[in-house]
Amino acid sequence: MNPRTNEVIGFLQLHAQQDLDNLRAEFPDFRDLLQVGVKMGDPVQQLDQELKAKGELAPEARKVLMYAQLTEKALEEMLLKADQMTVKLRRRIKRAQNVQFVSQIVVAIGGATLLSDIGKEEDWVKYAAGAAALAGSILTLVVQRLEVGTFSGGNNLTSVYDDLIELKVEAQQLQTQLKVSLEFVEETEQWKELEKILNATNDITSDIQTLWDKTR
Amino acid sequence: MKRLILFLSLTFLLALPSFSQYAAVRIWIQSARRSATVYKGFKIPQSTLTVTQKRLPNLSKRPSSYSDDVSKLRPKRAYRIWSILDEPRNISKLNDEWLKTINTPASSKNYVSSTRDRIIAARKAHQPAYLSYLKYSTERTTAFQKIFTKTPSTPVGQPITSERHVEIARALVKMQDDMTQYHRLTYVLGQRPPTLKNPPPWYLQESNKSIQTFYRFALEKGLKGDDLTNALKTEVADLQKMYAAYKEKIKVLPTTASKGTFSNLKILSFQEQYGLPETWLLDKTTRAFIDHKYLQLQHAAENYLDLAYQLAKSRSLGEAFELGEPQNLQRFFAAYLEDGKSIDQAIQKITTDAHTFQKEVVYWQEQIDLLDYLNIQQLQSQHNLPKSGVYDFDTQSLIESQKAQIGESLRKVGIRLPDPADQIRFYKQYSQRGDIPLKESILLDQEAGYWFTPQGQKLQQKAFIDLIDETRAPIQTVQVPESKLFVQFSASNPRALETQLETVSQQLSRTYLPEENMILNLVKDRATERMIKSSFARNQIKFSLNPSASVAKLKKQLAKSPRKTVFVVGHVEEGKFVTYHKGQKIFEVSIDELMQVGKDLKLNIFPFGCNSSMQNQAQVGTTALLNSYADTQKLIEGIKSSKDLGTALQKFAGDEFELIVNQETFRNLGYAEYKIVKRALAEGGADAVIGGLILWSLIDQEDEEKENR
Repeated sequence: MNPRTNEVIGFLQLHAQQDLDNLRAEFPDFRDLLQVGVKMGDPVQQLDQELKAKGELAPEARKVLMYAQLTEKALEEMLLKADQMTVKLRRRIKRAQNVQFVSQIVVAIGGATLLSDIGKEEDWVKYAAGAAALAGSILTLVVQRLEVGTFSGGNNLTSVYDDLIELKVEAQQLQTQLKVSLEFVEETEQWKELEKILNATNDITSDIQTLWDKTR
Repeated sequence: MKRLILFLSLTFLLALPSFSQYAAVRIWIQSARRSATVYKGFKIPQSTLTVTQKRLPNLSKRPSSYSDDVSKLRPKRAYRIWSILDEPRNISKLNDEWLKTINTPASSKNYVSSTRDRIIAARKAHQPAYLSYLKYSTERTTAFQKIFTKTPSTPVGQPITSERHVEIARALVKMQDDMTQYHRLTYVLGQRPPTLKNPPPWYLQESNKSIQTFYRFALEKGLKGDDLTNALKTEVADLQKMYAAYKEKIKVLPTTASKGTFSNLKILSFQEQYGLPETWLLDKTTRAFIDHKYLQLQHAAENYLDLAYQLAKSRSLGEAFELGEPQNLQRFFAAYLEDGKSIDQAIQKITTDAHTFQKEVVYWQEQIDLLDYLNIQQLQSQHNLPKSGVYDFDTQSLIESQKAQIGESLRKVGIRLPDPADQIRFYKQYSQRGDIPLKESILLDQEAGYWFTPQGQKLQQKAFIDLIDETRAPIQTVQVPESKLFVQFSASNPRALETQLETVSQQLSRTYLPEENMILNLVKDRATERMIKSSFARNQIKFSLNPSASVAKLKKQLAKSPRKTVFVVGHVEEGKFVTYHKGQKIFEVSIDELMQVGKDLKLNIFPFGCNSSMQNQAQVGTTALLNSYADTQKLIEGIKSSKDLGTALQKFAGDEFELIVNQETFRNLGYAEYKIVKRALAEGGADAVIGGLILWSLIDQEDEEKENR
């Protein structure tokens, strides 16, 4: 019984500390398992062995319940954050699109004016057309900046949005899986199922947190 | 005439004083004569006294029955006894009123007549008084008869014959000494006899105290004859015994006048010292106080000696005390008596000492229990010791040697338990495995997956393996006082050890620069990363943990922080720092390799992971399970709030962790000097450039001037 929970706990600690504290209060015997950070050894195994040695191994069902509640809370919080991020990203994309549209029009006007003015001697028209073209180009650059933003690794706003949607869907799936596993899966198989869900939740939590940091 | 009248009157006036003087002289002479007559009368009684004195030797000429007892007495005493018994001759002592009457001399002639004649005369003159005397005398005679006669030879109420007088005198002589003793002892012991309810009139009229005491004793007891004599003897003996006992008891108890003979003065000083009524006597209150304190002391001493005997520390005293004599108690108590010390203080001290013995007895009993002996006799018989049945020195040294042997066997297998009780318990746990020696027994447990700390605590994981692994020498460490910091040493002689410890001490107490200590995070956990970034960003070695991470890249990053100390935070597995991401291993580096890289790049590397000291050859690091978030935060706080590494590590370790370092762990790599030289070089270069520019401009100016010319 060694699921990865560090990211989930770290995420709850950051965004929903009250929930995490409630969980710790509800399961004081698993307080070690609900600590932020990673045991830089093999803590779970050791804990099990110690409990076995004491002859008081915690009931499996209770541990399952604890992990299930942890997963549920994490997924809820994650979806909440994903929704918030979705709104934010949509707004940013829409804004970028608008600016891009304006800049393209300006560039188009500027370019057309320059072409139509060939052979004419009015200087101010030339200057105005050049300036419009320049402003359009700059606006295009601004849009690019908005799209790529602070994202490293060549991600742009759209791809981040795609990732977010993907993660959100994945989280929703995990949420459904969790409900199914708790309600319909046999107790003997329940833990294996939950471990998988928890590991997957831990992984996407890390990604969600990365996106959250980027879009902040 | 007138002149004569005047002359005569003057003469008369002048002579008047002489007449008056004459008259006065006459009067004086007459009175002197009268006095002389009175004086003559006083001479007469002297002859009477002479007659009385002359009667004394006549006592021996009394009937022979008197001489047996009475004549042996001193004349005065014999006379006194006789005079008491010889009532007719002793009237004057018994009835004062009557005495006054008969003693009034009618003439000097009458006065010299014999007493008997006087009595006869007085009888006639004072019949009522005589009758009253007779009544009194008869009553007293009856009392005598009642007291001294078992089978009365004279009827009660009749006058006592001279033979009876002899008998009574003999009995009184016999009892006189006892009576005096009785009287004295009852007085000293404050036992005042109760007042008689219905005393006979003759008792009330008796003025002689000793006789009164005697009558009282006789009346109280209701005995007579030999029974009375024996009762008095028994009573006196009892009182003497009581008196002697208190005399001894008071000697035991401390007083300011404790030295010297026993006296009323000593009793007084005792009473003064303890706030008792100052009666000078061994009265009831004083005796009760002595009894109470003596018993208290006796009880404390018995307890003390009983325990001391069990410890065989003062056996001779114990044996002496068993005799139960006050002088033994006094001898014992003398050790606790100091000037000005009260009984209560001394008893308190004895009780405290007894308590200490008690503890010691309990301690030895526990040791015997631990060593698995049923009792002390069993231990002594199994080891052929004298069967004293007490914790004597032989027994104690046997127990100590057995404990030392067990401690030594445990040390050989790397178990370092300071408490002997724990050592024995641990030893017993393994000695119960039959013939298997302790060392092999522990190794068996190790194979089964159990490990032990040097404190003998069983762990569920591999810990302290090197300390008890026979293939490698156990590491020797010295614990920094009041901390969980252990310093390794390899020296075999004390001087070399001292040098090594001094080196480590200097390294740990050296003040470091704020940027000198760095953190390299090899844990992929966003909470940990965030915490390090927010609290120790400038001291973090940046290293991207992604699938493309490699040891070469890490070396490159480490090379950017020369001469610094790097705490490597990471998950430790089988001698390596391993990084996982989403369940996949994305990076790993051997701790030994990392430490070698540190040496090459002039860096101090401290592995900061779970039980890292067990996972590298140098055996430095931690000996506990660490959490990447909480414990790294604690380490960072320790470093930030301290000025030297020793303090920082102690703050981190607290009471929870043990850290093991050696003299190679935190070498002084000269970071401060390096920084100074680097700055000096940079400043020197800038100066050279500025100087060059100035020089160039001057030369240029000179050339220009030349051209102008």
